[in-house]
Amino acid sequence: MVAEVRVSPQTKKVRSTPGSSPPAKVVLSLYIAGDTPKSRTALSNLKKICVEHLDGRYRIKVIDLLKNPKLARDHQILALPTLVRQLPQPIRKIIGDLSNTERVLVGLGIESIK
Amino acid sequence: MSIARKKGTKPRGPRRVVTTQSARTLRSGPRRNARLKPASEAEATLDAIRAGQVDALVIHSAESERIYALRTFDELEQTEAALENAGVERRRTRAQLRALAEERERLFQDMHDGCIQSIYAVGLNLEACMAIMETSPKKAAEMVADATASLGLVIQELRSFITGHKLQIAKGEDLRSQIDKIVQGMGNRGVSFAVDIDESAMKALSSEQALHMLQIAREAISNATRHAKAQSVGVSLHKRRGVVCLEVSDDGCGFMAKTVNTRGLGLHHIDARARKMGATAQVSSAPNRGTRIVVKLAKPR
Repeated sequence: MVAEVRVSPQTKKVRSTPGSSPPAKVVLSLYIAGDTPKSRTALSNLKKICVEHLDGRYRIKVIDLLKNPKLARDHQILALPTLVRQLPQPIRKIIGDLSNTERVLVGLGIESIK
Repeated sequence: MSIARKKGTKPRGPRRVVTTQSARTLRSGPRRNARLKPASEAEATLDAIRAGQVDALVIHSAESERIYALRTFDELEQTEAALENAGVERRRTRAQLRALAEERERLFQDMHDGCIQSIYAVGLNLEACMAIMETSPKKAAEMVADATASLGLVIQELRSFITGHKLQIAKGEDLRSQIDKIVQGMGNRGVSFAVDIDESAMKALSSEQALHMLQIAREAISNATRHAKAQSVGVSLHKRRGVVCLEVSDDGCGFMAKTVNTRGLGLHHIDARARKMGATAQVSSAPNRGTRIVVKLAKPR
């Protein structure tokens, strides 16, 4: 059984400059080890960052590896929680509860894809 | 040896060797300028672990992935404390259970050696009373009065069990007077008793030891009259070279230790009581040669 929870952003209009290409959609996977305080903190921080910085252009998938450890193989996850930016390429990872917003933004390259 | 290069591509500079900082990072933690952008995933993992942000590690193998939960030192200490508390609680429960078992055994012994023997003596007296009811009605009436008084004492004893009081020799009484009462209670069946209680031996005993000696004597006397059908019973308490010695002997039918269950209830209680006060109990008997029970207490008080 694939243990995953999809978190959809609230619908928002994407701001784009006339003439420029539409901003890429960000697909994120948050790998966790059960319902723990750190998992909850990570998800809450991630949602907050996405709402503030990605303006509705994101999709979050939460994957509980306690329910299916094999899913760690896809992205070679070493520690939990780990956030993986699957799209846009290249894949990027950030480990921990995502409480350092600046680091999350830099680590996932969110500033550059805005 | 020349390396062919694609047209239009820029020549690459000398390759930079990026050394891993894991060993240093393990010891001293991340460098200041690496705060925002860790050099590798391993370093990022170590940073997150140090910051207490990691729940678990994933160990990959060819066959499977395993999740190992990480614990902080605080959590480990809490777990250790919880385990310690559980151990203390378990030990406490064990001690309580042991105390309950001991209390139960004590009650059982006290009831067996006390109330049951007293009631048995009353029964013997009433039997004797029936035999003389027609020939000596006055004497029979006296015996019934004695039996009633004895039953009153039994009721008192039972009340003390209900209220949780430990059995003890009544105020104003001593071991000698108590043994005399037992003997009087048994004597109506034509059994002759020789009681010899040494004052110094009696004084050497604590109240608890005196109670144990009394109950042992009661059990031995009861066995002599009830099972051994003895005609004469001797009870003595002496002190020689600091050792207090209780001896109860009878001329009853005796028994063969190998064929009779000598660990029967009464003898077992005698042995248990002797051990409780640090004494030894020796039972010697042979068919038609009576029985002799000797309890030696080397260190009274």
